[in-house]
Amino acid sequence: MDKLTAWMEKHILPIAAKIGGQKHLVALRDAFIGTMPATMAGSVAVMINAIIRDLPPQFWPDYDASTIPIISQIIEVNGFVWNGTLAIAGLIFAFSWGYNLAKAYKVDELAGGIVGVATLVQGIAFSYSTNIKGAIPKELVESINQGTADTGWSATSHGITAGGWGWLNLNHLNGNAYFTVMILGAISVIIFSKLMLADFTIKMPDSVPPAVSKAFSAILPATISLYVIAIINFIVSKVSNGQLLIDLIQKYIAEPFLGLSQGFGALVIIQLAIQVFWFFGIHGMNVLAPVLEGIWGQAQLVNIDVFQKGYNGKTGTAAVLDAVKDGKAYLWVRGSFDAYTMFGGSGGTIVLILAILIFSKRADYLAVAKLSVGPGLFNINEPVMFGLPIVLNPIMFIPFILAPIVTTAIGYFATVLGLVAPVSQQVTWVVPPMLLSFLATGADWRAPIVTLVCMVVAFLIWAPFVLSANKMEEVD
Amino acid sequence: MICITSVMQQDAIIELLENDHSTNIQFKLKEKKGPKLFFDILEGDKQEAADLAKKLIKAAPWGSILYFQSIAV
Repeated sequence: MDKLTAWMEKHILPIAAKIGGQKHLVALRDAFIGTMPATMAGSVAVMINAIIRDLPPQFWPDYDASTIPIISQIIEVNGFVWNGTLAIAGLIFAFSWGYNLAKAYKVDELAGGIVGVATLVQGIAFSYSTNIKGAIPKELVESINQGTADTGWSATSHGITAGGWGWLNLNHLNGNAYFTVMILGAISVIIFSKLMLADFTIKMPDSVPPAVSKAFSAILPATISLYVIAIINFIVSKVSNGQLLIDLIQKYIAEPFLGLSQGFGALVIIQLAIQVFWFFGIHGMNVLAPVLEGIWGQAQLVNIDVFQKGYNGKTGTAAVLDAVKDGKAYLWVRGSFDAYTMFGGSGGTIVLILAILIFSKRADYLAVAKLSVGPGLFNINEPVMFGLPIVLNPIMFIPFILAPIVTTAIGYFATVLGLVAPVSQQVTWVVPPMLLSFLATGADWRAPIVTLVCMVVAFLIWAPFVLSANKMEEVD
Repeated sequence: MICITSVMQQDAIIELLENDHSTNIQFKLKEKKGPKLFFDILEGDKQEAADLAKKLIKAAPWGSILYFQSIAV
């Protein structure tokens, strides 16, 4: 084991450290984390709606929250919170990404955030247009056309057209915008930062106050970087017959990429990588955060958005399931890992603690297990990871790697087969197991049962190794 | 005394902590036992020392990806 550790330290750690310390990836990770005040607030609003609007009809089909005083008002209030958070999660992320990227380059962070926002917004739809075909009476046509300037409606004898300018498309500002923000935001903010570092700025006399001087120094770099993005948007629009770059990125990059993340093989690879990193004393979540948050985190935001906003005239889980069929929502998202594999912490260690308390004859194991129960209930497993230890403990390697992969399979196939709703809420990882999956699935009562099955199976995987450890004491 | 548990970068951690003079807290390696590194605190509170050690390790170029524990003992 010492040789293996030395090998890991020599060959793997530097790579992990490079990934973990790479300034763009660190900025990306921090950009995702930076949006949390908004995304969590929005998630709380959606979750409350899930409990008071979507849960009761599972048991009382006649339940209609919109007709119940106070409940209907709470739902409306939650709608406001959602409007300012998850409905514009992409816009918030655009600022966070620009801010953190500028910070990584050690230039004006605020200006970087503003460049990030301007980059996204310049390329989104500012107008809408839709029409209904059918015979329209002449008097009605005249009446509609008289008010066109105010209403945006126009009519002919063959149909009505509704259109307007100045209506920003929320589908371009929510979680769907993440890939566009990551790509175009990186281009614009890196150009901005490089120009700032090259001192390609407007110089102000010393007598000018620092705040004014700072704002002025960012003008040229910001202008140039935003023009570069504008030219890209213009060219793409011309060569694609008026399509927006954000729609093309969504269709040809984001959706296929997120689609790939839904294969079981991808889940096994990422789960395996996380566990191996943890086992060898490397912070798996930190190293892989850009991947986890960039792919499955974005998929989760899409699910939350669909849950609240609705799809095909449905709301809640029914909307998410319909959207999944059309590739507009996802079965496995960031929170699915927490719900079905990380009960007690990475490796599903709460069941290991239970196995030790039942089967172990080792005083050291029992002492660590008793100390680890409390934190374990909240998915904190440092005491047991370092106390037993699990880290670099050859006997714990197999169950630590195997249990999460098997429970991933259980959670994944239960979701794919429709035995449980997909995760559609953002729940902080310290919420106790089973309650976490219940809340994360929009209050699906079947989710805690699936988690319980995962825990029982994980227990059966861990138990033989706890019994083996009993014999090791005699050897020691 | 504080205990740093880490299976990786042990020598780097010892060098980092023993050579840190940013505060009045001074670390001196007492014992190395498997993944556990025990440091005597020559001056200052041990809980503050554990927190400082955690902060210093996390700030190191390799620290952000290290899975470790820093506790006062």
